Amino acid sequence: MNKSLTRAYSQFYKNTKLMSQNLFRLMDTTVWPLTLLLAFVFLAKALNNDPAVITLVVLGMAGWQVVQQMQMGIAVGYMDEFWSNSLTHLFVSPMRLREFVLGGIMTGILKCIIVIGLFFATAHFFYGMALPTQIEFIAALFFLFIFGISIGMLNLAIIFPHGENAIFLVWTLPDILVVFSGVYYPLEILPEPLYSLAQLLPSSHAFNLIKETSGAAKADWVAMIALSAIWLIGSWILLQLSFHYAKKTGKLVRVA
Amino acid sequence: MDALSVAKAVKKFKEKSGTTLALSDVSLKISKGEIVGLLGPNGAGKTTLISAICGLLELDEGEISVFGKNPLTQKESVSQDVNLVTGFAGLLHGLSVENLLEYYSMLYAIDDRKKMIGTVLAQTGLAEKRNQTAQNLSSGFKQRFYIAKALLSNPKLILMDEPTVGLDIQSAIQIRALIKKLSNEGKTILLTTHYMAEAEQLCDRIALIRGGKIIAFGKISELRKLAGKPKANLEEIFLHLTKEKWVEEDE
Repeated sequence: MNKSLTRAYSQFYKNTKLMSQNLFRLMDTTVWPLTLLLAFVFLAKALNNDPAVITLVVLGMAGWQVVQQMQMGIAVGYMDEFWSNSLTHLFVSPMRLREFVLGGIMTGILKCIIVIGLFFATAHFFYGMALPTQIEFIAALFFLFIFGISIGMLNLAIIFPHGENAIFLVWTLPDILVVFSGVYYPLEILPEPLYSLAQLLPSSHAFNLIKETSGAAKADWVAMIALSAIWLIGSWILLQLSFHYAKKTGKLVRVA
Repeated sequence: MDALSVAKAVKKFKEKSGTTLALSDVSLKISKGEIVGLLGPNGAGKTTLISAICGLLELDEGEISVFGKNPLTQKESVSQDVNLVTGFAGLLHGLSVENLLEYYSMLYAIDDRKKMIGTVLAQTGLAEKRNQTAQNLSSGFKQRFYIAKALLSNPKLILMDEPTVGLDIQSAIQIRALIKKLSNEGKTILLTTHYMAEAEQLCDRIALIRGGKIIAFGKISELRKLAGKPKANLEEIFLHLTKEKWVEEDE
C-alpha cells in the first residue's frame, strides 16, 4: 500500500476499531435505522396497505441511509478526535485533507453495506421483498453516495472554523435536506419556493430515479449528474478554503 | 543547515475585543542536536510559535524553515522530520496503547510498523502497558505515550510543549531522563516549560519570550551576563529579564 493510501486507511482502521470495541457505537448503523424503517413501514401499512407504497418507503429509506452513513463516515473520524481532545496529534501528522476524506469514505462504505444489508434482510423477512437490481435503483444509490460525500465535506468545512458549536450540524443538516429531497413523497407536494430549491439538490433527482422504478416519477439524469458534480467539487473547494482559513486565523489551533 | 530557523515571525489574532499580537518579529535558530528551552509567562506566544513550526498555523509575516523546508508548503515532508509532544492534547478514547500506536504509525505511513511500535514501547518503558486502554494511563505514562507516539516517525526535531506539566516528581525525573537520552541520540529538541530547574538542567540554550517577543536567547551564562547577575539562577534571570512585576517591587 502506498503512503497516501496507508494514511487514508488509518482513518478506516481507527473508525472500525472503535466500532468493534464498543457495541453502542454500532447503534447508528443498526438499531436507529432499523427502528426508523419499521416505524415508517408500519405507518405506511396503517395508512395504505399498498405493497408498491411500502416498497417505495423502504427504497427511499435505504437511499437516504446511504447519504446519512456516508456523511457520518466522514464526520465521525473528526468528531472522535474532537471529543478526545486529540485533534492536535492528527493535524501535526502528514495526513492530507483528501486522505482524511478518503478514509471517511472507506468507513462510510462499510456502514452503508451494514445498513443496506440489514434493511433488505428485514424487508425480506417481513414483506418478502427482494433486493432490487434495477439499474435505476443502483444508479440512484451511486448518486446518493456522491451526495453523502459532498455533505460530509460540507459539514467539515463548517466545523473547521466554527468548532464544537457546529458539530450539531452533522446531525441537523441531513434532517433539513431530507425535507427537500422528496424521500417519502413526490416533490410536487412541496410549495414554492421549496419546490424550486429542491430542484437544486442532486438527492431530489436521485429519489425521482428511485420512484421511476415504480412509475411514480420521472428523473432528470442531466440535472442529477450535473448537480452531483457541482456539489462534490463545490464542497471540496469549500473544505479546502475553510481549512486554510482555520489555519490562517488560528481557529484550527484553538479547536485542536 | 539549521534544524530550525524562524525569521521575523509575526502573528496577529483578530478577536472581538481587538487584535492580539501573538508573535512579534520572532527570530530563532536551532542547530542539530541542541536542546533549546522556550520560556515565558502564560500567553507569551510559546504555543503559537510551536503551532506555526508544526504547520498548524499560518504566519502573517516571516518565515519558518525546518531542515530547510517550509512547514506549510512542504507539510508532508516536514511532518516526517518533526513531531510534537504536548501535555495539553488528549488521547483518542477507547483504544489500547498498542492499537493507538498502530493508528499513529499508519498516519505517518511507517513501513515496518510492528517493529517500530516494539522499539518505541521499549524506549519509553511502555511495553508492559501495551494492552491497557491509553486514556486510562496515569499522567506519567500518558506523557511517555506522547513521546512514544512522537518517536514512531523517527523525527529529527521534537517539539515538547510542557512535557512534565502536572507530573509527580518521580515521573518528571523519568521524563527528563528520557529527553536527555533522546538528545544524546542526536534528536534536536525545542522544549517549553514553566519549570526553571528543568530548563536549567536540560537545555543547551534558552530563549525567553514575552508578549510575543524573544527578549533574550543564549546559554545560561550569556543570559546571566545580559541580566547583569553573574550568580543568579535561571529563575532569577527569567524574572529579571521578563520584568515580572513583583520582582521589580522586591528590588
